[in-house]
Amino acid sequence: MSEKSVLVIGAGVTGIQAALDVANQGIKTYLVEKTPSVGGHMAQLDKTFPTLDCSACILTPKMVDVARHPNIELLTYSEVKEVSGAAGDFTVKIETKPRYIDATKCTGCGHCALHCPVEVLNDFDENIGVRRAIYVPFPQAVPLVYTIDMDNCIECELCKNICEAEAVNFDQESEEIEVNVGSIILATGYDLFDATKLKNYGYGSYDNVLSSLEFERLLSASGPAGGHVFRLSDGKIPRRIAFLQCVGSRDTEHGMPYCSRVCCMYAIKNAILAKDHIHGGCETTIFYIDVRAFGKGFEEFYQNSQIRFGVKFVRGKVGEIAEDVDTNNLIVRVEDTETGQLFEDEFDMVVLSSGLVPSQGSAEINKILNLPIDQYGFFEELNRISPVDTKIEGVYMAGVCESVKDIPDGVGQASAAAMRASLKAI
Amino acid sequence: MVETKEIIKETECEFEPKIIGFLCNWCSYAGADLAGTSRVQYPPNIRIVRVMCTGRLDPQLILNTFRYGADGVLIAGCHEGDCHYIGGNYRAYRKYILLKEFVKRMGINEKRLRLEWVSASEGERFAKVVREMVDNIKEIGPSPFGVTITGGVVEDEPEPKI
Amino acid sequence: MEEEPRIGVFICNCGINIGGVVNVEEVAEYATTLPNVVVSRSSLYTCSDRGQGMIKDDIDEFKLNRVVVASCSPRMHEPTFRKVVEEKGLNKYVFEQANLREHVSWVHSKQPEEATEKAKDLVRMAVAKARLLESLPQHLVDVKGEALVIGGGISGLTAAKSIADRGFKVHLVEKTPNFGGKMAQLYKVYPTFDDPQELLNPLVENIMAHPNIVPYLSAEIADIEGYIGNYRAIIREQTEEKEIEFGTIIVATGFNAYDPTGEFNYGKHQNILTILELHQLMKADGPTQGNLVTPAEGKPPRSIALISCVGSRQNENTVPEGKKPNVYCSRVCCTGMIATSMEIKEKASDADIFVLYRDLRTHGKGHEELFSEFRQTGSTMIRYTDDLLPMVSITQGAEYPLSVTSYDSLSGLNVEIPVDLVVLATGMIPDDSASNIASKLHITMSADGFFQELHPKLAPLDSVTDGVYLAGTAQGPKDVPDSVSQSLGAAAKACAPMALGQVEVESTISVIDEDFCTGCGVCQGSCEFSAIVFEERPEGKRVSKVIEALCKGCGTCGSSCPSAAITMLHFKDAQLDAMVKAALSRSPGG
Repeated sequence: MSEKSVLVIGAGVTGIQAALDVANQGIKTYLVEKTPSVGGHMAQLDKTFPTLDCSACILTPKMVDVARHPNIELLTYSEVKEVSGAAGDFTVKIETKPRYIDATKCTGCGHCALHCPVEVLNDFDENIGVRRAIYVPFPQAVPLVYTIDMDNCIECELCKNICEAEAVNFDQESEEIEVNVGSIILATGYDLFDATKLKNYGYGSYDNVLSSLEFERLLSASGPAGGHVFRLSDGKIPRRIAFLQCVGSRDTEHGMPYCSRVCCMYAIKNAILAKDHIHGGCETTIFYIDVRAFGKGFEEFYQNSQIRFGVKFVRGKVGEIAEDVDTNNLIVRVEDTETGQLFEDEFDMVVLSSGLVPSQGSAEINKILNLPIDQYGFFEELNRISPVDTKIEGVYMAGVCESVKDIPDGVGQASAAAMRASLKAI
Repeated sequence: MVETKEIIKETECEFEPKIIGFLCNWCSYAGADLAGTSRVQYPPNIRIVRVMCTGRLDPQLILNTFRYGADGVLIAGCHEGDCHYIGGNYRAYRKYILLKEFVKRMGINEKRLRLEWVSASEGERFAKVVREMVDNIKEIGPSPFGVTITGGVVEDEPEPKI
Repeated sequence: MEEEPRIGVFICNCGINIGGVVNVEEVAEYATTLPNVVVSRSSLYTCSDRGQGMIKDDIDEFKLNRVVVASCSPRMHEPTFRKVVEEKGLNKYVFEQANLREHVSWVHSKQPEEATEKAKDLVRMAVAKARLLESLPQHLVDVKGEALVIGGGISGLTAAKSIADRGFKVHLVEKTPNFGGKMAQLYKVYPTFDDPQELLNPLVENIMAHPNIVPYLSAEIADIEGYIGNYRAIIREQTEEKEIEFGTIIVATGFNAYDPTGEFNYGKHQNILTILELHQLMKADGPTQGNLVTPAEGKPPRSIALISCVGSRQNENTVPEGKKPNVYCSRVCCTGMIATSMEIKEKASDADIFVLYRDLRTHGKGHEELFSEFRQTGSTMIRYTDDLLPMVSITQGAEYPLSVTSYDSLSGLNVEIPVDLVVLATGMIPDDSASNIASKLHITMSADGFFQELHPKLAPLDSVTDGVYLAGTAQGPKDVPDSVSQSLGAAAKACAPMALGQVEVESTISVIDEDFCTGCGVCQGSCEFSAIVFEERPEGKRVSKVIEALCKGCGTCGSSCPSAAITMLHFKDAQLDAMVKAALSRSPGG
């Protein structure tokens, strides 16, 4: 094995791929993830475009690979605290937060959670579902080790008494390690644009206006609805769903001016899945400006959505959403630019195709690294033909933290960052 | 050789079908696992044999399975386009089409042989398929074949119980 | 001599996950009645250190040569337990796992008796297979630390440099006399308006001087054979032929511009150009020294129309007779067209510009902002529809040589625009050499004609053949930064087996018995990985032979062989048969 190592920060699909591509070359890799499990946003998705394959199915083998790889040291529930040095010789301090569970003893059996009396909104389910104060974020979590959310734990110690493996330890403390690496890869991902900023859409006020990730969780077989889509206001099945594009994207006034690149495709995918999951039929309409189905297989997927699935498309950016207070139905007001008509239409549910913005995690790591970022918060690349090099030598980037992209592009870029990083670790 | 209704009346109350399921490692076996992780309940009549790909399944093996007394056979693989080995499931399907015809002519009710595409995220669906198969086969009764196997050795050649 | 199987069976309680439903003690007791089982125990958590230790102790004490663990899903812990048996000197393939948790206790939790019976059946099945398990050798294939990069455009150059920097020798083969590919033909790269030569020159210089790179220009691959780690090829450089050996291959054969002959009157008038042709005109070293003048009249254009989606997003109705429609989107043309319009405005500031588009796909980093800037230039945008394509007519003796008519879906009007110049934003098609390379390397094409990746998300840079990786537009339309990203990634993929010097290929593979093989070739037809080839034997006999390094062990050949000549290791007919018999067995002998 080579003498030097590489540090990958962020273990969504991009970070996982980068770590695997470095480790597969025989180079020691540290993979740091601040949440209790690897997987990132991709683990929240039901199916992915344009192939409609199951997201968890294709992600979990890689998650398991990364946990088992002899050259990867996986540090979950951990954060980078300090970075010093230069390319070829960085010194990094990493803090692992206490789970209050001994990871070497916990077998992930879940008995503790069954008895925990505290219910908390589940972040992984976009706060639609609930979890206990002792939890794993999702059933296929890696590592499959429980964590106690101390902010909500009432310290009744029921879990400790129940655990047959004696894994609960309320005295556990955070641990800090110092590692020396030759290069660093940032894969800190994205957050969803906060649509409460768009007052005209009623997100956050109207129960049946959802963000795209909330809708994904409803669609997901392992989500709070078991894959059955229902309205949050009354639990009824929606029969008419509107998908609004460019929410917070291509928006110079209230959002981000850039295009978020994946929303056209994920809306088409979600419209198809809505029709597939909802028995008895469901009408889906996508309100768009341009349908950006540009990647491999995307145009075919778009054509199919109309021909095979009957997804409707209306060219017009929705101006306003109003709510019928009796039914909690939504009235969408839009100009159909193809006919020039202004009209109103009623829907049971509205899904906002919110854009992707640089994550909180990116901002946090940048307080330590001080990398040049563009006006939106994405890390700047060195030049046009060095798309994964940041402006600090030895620090590379991949995935949405560089700029918005879909999973195939992110995974490809992760391998690119691995190539660059490996040159500083041999 | 035709299965008659008499058998059904006799065995309706106590008959618990034994179904052999051939599941592929990458999709359907994982789907069955998910049914477990999600605690979806289904009847305990199925015994799963793991293969790497449904493409592995030799029609001879399926026929033997009936010969050894299985009341039903489930073949479950990846959805079209998702096969881990690119096209193994398509080839399994081609063999299955012919096999379906064949078993009919051999006097085996075609409801006993079923092929389903089950993805790794379709735990609920896997359970549903098993429930359906168990119900269907309960209706038609036990398999006309019923060799006795002792110590791994087949004792006598199949003689239909009609 | 065959050794007598000595099987140890370990039933797991998994806390109460299994034990709470299945009577684990009863199952462990039952297992002792099975032939060849010399020890059978239960434990609380078999995967824990304590549980693993128990297995290891029993292997020693009872001289076990087969191990069965009945616990959770093998998809969870098969690797864990395989490691345990390996630590005790046993081959990992003599281990078998029965799934009593995901497939029994968790799904039949209200039926403990039936669950216990099912558990016994599953244990009996696992033991039946275990009796017939065999040690399988680990298959390691040496990997030569040299790579072949096919194509010397930006993708090939990037991949070659990375691999060479990593310390491996690279053979970089380019069919034209120069490196740089299509990027060198561009006027500028967008949205940053960089000069492509400025970006390419340092890279090309580096490569020509790089100690690890052997460049071949005006060269082609005459022949190639082998498999991962062990390839041999003949490179024909003009008239000279050279034989080389290498371990991995990067395919970076690039793209060709779509030829719109037969559409929009292209080829019938000098002023109807493709976007690449326009770029040649705008270059400082071009035929007009960079002055933007119409080819026919040699005058600055007063009015210009640009039409998107030429050769892309076609359907049966819109594609010319005899051509197969390119359904896909070429991804880069919208941005290219918008940026080119801005270039035109720069060179001919008085000109009226009309952009005819369907969906405006300015999706990349900085592209939308460029589009916003473009809208300030006062150009006119006309949105046409899928089925009603714009028409370009050649006017005779009118003030403007050309006329473009189109339906505008946003205003609902039919417009007729007199223009001096028509620029067709042509899409990308695979390079001519692609199908030849595909058959030489046994890699496949997607429906769109570009090379197919092994998996669009899990492996977008791998081809379907191990050791062959895809870079740049050869895999699908994309712009320069995305091509570079992908090429770096492909280089990383290639470096992995080369850095390790060897690669482990599947052990549970297909084995063909030559005595039974009739050379019919049915197996070859069923193999997606081109892993079976014919070999000649004495007296004109021909047999099929598995290339072990390429076999993935799926078993499709095995079930297709009409002569029963194929054995699938670890999933043999006898093993599967034994499991089924055990499942249907009426008596405890199993």
